[in-house]
Amino acid sequence: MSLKIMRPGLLTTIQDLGRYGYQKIGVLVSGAMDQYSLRLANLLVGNPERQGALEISLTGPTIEFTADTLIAITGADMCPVIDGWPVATLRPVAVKAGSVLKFTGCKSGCRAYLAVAGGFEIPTVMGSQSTYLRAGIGGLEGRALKHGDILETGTPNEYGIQMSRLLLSRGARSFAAAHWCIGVVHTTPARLALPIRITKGLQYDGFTEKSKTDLCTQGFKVTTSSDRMGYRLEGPILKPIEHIEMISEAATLGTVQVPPSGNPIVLLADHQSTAGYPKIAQVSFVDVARVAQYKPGDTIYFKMITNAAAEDLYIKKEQYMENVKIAIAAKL
Amino acid sequence: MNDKQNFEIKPMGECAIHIIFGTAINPTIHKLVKGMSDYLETHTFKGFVEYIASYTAVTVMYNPYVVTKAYSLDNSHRVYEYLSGLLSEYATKAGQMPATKPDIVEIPVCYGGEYGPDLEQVAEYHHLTTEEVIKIHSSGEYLVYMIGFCPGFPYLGGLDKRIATPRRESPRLAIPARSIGIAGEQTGGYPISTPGGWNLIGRSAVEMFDVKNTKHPSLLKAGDIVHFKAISCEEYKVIRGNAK
Amino acid sequence: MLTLDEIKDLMQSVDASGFTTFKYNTEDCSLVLKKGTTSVVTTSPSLTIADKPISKPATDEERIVEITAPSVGTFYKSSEPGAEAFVEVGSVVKENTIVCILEAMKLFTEIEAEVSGEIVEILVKDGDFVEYGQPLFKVKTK
Repeated sequence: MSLKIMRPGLLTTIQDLGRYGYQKIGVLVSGAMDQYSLRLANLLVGNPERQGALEISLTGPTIEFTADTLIAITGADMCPVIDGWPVATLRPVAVKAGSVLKFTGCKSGCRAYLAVAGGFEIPTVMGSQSTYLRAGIGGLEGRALKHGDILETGTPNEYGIQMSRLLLSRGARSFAAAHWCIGVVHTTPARLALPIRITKGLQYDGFTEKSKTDLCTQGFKVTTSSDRMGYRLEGPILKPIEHIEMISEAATLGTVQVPPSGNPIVLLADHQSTAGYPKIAQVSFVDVARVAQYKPGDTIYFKMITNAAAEDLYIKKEQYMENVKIAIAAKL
Repeated sequence: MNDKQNFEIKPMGECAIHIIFGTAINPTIHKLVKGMSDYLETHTFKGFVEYIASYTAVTVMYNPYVVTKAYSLDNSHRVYEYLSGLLSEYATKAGQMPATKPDIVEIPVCYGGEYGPDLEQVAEYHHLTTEEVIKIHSSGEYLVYMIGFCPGFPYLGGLDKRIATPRRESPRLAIPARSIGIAGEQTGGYPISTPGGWNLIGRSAVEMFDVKNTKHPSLLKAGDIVHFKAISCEEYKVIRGNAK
Repeated sequence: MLTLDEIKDLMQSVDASGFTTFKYNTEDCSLVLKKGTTSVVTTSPSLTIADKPISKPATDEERIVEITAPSVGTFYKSSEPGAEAFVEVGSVVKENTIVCILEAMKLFTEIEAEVSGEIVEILVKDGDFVEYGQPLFKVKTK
């Protein structure tokens, strides 16, 4: 069973939840920019949550399915269409052999995730299928997908097989989507308008009062230089009280660092393991997925919360994921 | 810093804890950082993801949900409080471990010209000639304090203050692989092409990271001693052979 | 209120039949299906169906259609600075003719016309930042 890539889209890569344990030799974590959407796509097709899936950015690929395949699309609304018919997202979809999937436009959000039951037959490198583009490590030959690529898919598990059978039993021309879907989508315009919750960074106290105020009251525009390594923002200039010549120290997912130019950078999936610029804030883990759904030209607002509140958000989100997993399993 | 302990613990968001052993780059603090890293290689906890060692600190990353469930924590005993206590114990024990003997590695470097576009700027900044900068840089003995930033990237200590130069105002979007650079009091090399804000003074003739080498993908590791050897462009091309 | 599946069933029935136009009206929903077009129209308030972002034709014999941006990005009319533009006013395009490049996050997508005809107007300038759905070219088609 395979997917034929007819057109690759802007940046389509294989990602899972990341490559852990090698940051001490400087190998980045990489992985899905919106981890929750990737995990949900996998759950919808019966895969383990951390299975490799396609991360699709802004302009989506055109894919031909060579065999009947159970898929799910989550994340950004990129208007997927099969043979001219709109494909519902956030639910399992049984696609018939010969069908061609296209994404006709990115209406809201920035990144969509396409999981297939059984995952992809892609070797793991240092324990992960994630693509680390700059180093050419992992994924399909360490690079983004291109025209002519063939992606072999793995064998679906029992859930994948049964769900596919159930959906196709209702009869379908090109595909059959489930009548149910998961809710709470953080890529809708309404949800993207909510502020991104941050906690204080290690050098927060070294910034001026005006910078601290501006950080949580003014908007910051996502510039076109933003990418998987980080989002370069433009807004009020953030200034330390006096110049901080930093000694390089660890950076984590969501670190908001401020180079001398005063324009902050939010570190994302391909962030380096150490950084040399002062850290004014940390994006809460649950909101990193939301940052990843902003596009160049969008404006981000921040809101300061305590570490304890950030911990609570993390735990509550994991409890939600566990509940969704149970609910999806019960749909068979 | 507490009198009783030689470290300080701070949160870094809700998924990481930063254990700080000092505020300067020196071999004494490095020994404490290395001791903690070595201890974490054999002592972790449920929910531990990984650690990053830097010049002055060890940062431990974890999954708060797994920690909460595994240690039956609740609102009154938060993950950060629990783990900072545990890591405090680890740091104390780590401080009592014996030090390990370092490996010595020589790296051939072609300085200046197309390989070191910022060499002249660094020389000008310090009112030195480029030859003087090269002599100072290549006669140093450097300790690998940590590997970070990108695969195999060494942060080296021991840079002579005469050539310490502040980072560039705006980072470059792409630096050629194997470039050797200076930023503040630090020196190091870029094993792969990546964005960065360092001043570039030369290029290494040997690979610093090779993913195909599954046993030792990184040329260097924390704790190694490095010597840079100045070589000519011709020698550089001979060593590189057909590779760029 | 019609469900998505009911609409799909209706579409398949109309498709298989000899009818070219089908209208269905109830209190809360009005549906018009026309054979030979690529868009589905429904005024049921709770359903949204993704449309291809191409606007409707102007006349019977020749129509002006717009090529619109499939995502945000910076518009470039040629493959690199100084190179010849992909298309000019008067250029004849087929569906797979590349008409421009959109750059986003330091990456480039070649945009295909997806229609056949002649470029009659270029609506944006080289280097403009464009939004999703923003019209880029007007094409005269038959």
